[in-house]
Amino acid sequence: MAPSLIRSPVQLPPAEALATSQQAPVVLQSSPSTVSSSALGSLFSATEKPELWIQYENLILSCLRTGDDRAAQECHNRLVARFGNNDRVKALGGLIKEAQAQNNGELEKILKEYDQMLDENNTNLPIMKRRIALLRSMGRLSDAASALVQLLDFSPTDSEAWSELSDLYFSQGLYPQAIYAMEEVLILAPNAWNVHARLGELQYMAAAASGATSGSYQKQMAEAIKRFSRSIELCDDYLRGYYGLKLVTKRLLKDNTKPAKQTDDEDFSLPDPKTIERLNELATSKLAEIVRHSSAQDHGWRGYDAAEVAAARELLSEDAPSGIER
Amino acid sequence: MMLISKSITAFGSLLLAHACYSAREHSTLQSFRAATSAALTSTPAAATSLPIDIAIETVVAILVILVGLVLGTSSLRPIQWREWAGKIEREGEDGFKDNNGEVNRDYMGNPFDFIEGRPNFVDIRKQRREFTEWVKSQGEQQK
Amino acid sequence: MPSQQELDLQISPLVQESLVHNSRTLHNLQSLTASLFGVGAGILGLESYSGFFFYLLFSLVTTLLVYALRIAPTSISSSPSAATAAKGGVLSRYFRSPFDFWTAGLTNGLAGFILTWTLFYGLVRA
Repeated sequence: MAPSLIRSPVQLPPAEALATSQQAPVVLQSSPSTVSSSALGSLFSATEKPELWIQYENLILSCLRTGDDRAAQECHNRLVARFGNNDRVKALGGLIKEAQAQNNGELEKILKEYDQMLDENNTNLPIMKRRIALLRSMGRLSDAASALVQLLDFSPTDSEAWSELSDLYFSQGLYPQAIYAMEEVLILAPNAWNVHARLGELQYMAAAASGATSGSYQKQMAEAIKRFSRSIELCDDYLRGYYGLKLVTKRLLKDNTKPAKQTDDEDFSLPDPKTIERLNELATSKLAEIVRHSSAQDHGWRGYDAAEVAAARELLSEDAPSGIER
Repeated sequence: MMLISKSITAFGSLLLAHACYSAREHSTLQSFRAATSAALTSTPAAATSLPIDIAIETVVAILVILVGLVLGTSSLRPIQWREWAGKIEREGEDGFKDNNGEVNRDYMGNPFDFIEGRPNFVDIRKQRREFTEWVKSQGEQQK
Repeated sequence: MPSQQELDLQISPLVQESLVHNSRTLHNLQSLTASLFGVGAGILGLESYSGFFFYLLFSLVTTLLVYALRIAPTSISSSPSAATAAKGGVLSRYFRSPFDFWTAGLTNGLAGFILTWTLFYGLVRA
């Protein structure tokens, strides 16, 4: 079944993106090419639904990804016909141009256009975001970072931008900065379980990068445990959270480090080995349950991503070479 | 589920309509008889009582419709955050279908997905490259 | 210093959309069935207190049916975490307070009930 067009297609795996973009002709044909926005016109023509515009936006994204430029252009034309050239539609137009650009010269030209638009109105968020994404795509990471910081300066409640900043720092290996930016996201969305898990992953990678001997290792591992635990607390049977928890506890058990000095850093010291052991057992049993139900396609267990389940199975089989295949 | 609920409701409505019609007929008959017998005697008060079978039919009809309507309500959603989130993760779209088997219109998946997906920052050229590589690898696999 | 209840809500928050969805579902059902009860009461020719008693009785039956057909089955079939059911019954999975669930129906549909009650009383007895 093709995924719903209401949801953002950015994170979909390629096969599903293809399925989404193949829906484009159907959607384009079944909905009218122009929708009147005047009150009188709407009496006679088809009624407009807000979902339709979201669908168009998502179609543009997935069609560009799969190389169906014609359909993307058609979707964009309809958006222009309805909304005129507002900021968001302009940004989508820029996106289409970016996708079709052949060489660096053309990209530079698009970048100049963005700059020009920002000169007219320097709080144009969608265009600003596109500009940052383009800078990053061209490899000018430090420019992108400074532009992003500037954006966050006047729009500090933009969780998406904070998350982008975190990812940008992460790609450069600047773990503390990435963690800081992710924490900002958490302030804006304290109940987002995936953000908690993401932060846990960042902490874990930071700890792994600094190595077991460094002083901050234990603290970061302890924090990773806390983040993963919170993500599980916010979401029952959260595969990603249990996966991370298992990863962290397994590594800690393998290190066999004692919680050396519990004096410094009052609340971010490691729990004692027994607790870690129990957390590990819990995560293992939960993961096994999820993998079992999900591979059996039990009713009510079909929401998991196949790749994630496969990864969990691999992790489990590393752990115990026999007996997991049930 | 929807079909069962609808047919039960339809059957109940039929019963109710029949009961209503019977009651109406009964009361006109009664008043007619009362009018004619009023000439003889002067006690029309007994005319208001309804035959027991019509009363039973009415109550049964209401109960049948009730069952049909209750079966037809959209399923409730958990209000505890972790249960709700767990449902999204575990069941995906399956958990949010209405009785017709269509996914509810206000179902968004994880509402915080956009924080990680960042659709406004998407690097479309990279995605395109990755997609063409994926297509190539698919083609090689099929050979 | 936040109270204990606020802290609890911070730790395990509630989903507003689901709350609204659930109470709206219940509300829709109750206003629909209330007018149905009015039809019944009109056909039966009930008057004064017995009519209201009829309404009370059937509203209770409605909520009981909802509980039996829609809520209770979910606790058996799709609840891998038995801990939640033990904590406050199945009802607390879907509604904030059991009291609301059992009594909200009485006020929701009263107007509709009286409307159809008088209408059908008049139609049948005319």
